[in-house]
Amino acid sequence: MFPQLLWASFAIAAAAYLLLFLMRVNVSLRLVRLGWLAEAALVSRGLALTLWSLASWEWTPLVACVVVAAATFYWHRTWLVRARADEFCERISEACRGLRLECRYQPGGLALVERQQMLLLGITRLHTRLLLVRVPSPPPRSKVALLVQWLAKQYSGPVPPIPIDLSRPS
Amino acid sequence: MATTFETSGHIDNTPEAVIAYVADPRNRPLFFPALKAITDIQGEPTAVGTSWKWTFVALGMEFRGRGRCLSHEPGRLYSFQTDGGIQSTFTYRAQAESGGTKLTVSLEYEVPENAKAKLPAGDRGQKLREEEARRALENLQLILQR
Repeated sequence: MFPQLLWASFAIAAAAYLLLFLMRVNVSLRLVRLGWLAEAALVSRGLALTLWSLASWEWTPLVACVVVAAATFYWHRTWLVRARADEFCERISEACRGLRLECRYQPGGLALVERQQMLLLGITRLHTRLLLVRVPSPPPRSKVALLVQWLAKQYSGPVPPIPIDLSRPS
Repeated sequence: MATTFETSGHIDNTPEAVIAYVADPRNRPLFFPALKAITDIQGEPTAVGTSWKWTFVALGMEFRGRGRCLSHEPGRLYSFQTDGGIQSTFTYRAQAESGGTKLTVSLEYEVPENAKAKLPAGDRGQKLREEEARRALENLQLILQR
């Protein structure tokens, strides 16, 4: 019974995460986080091997988790973003102006130029409100790193945060 | 009792440019690491008396409140206050220094009893706020350097 419960709970968590992402706008789904979930499932099942040996049907979820973990590790800088392409690009251009960072449109995304070095923020429109964004890997102390941090705040994960209004008395 | 904290650093730009940049609340989410958004700006963004809504993100929570500009002396000083559950006053002072600017950021804040349960408090809370102010200053150095 335990293996069924374990696989089912991880499958439900992944489905809920994906569902939340599809239901909300201006959020992002970082593929690497699905990979962490797959890794957590593999580790949990591995730890339980001493108590429950592997049943033949378990090879399917096991292989699926290995594939997801490997694929998302490879695409660890890839995000799915629920936003319109024009709005998304406009907000980034505005942020670049605020950061005094040179930014120009080019096929495949936005070119970010800092200290004569060009990094590409890849943007592919998958649907009306669904984008595939490939975030560059900037040096830690750079304006592009600040832009990536800002992007992560504006397009946070799909799980809604707990809102706390401090302007109201408790 | 109010807690105070001060940090300063050199910025390679003029005092006028530095104060003009920090005085515009729309720039703040770009250099304040935990500040997600400034919305609902009531009035001319950099003017005294202008207010806005702010959203901070920390520990999986979103804290919201209002802020208001207290004083703005171009090239010299800018200060604002956050109202509501947590009262804090941020003051930016700029002085010309070696062809650039010495920017001093002072933070004075008080966490009322009724908000302590909602916010990181004690030494941990203080360290978080001080670290935030330090990183904001480092980010300003990076953004404003010529």
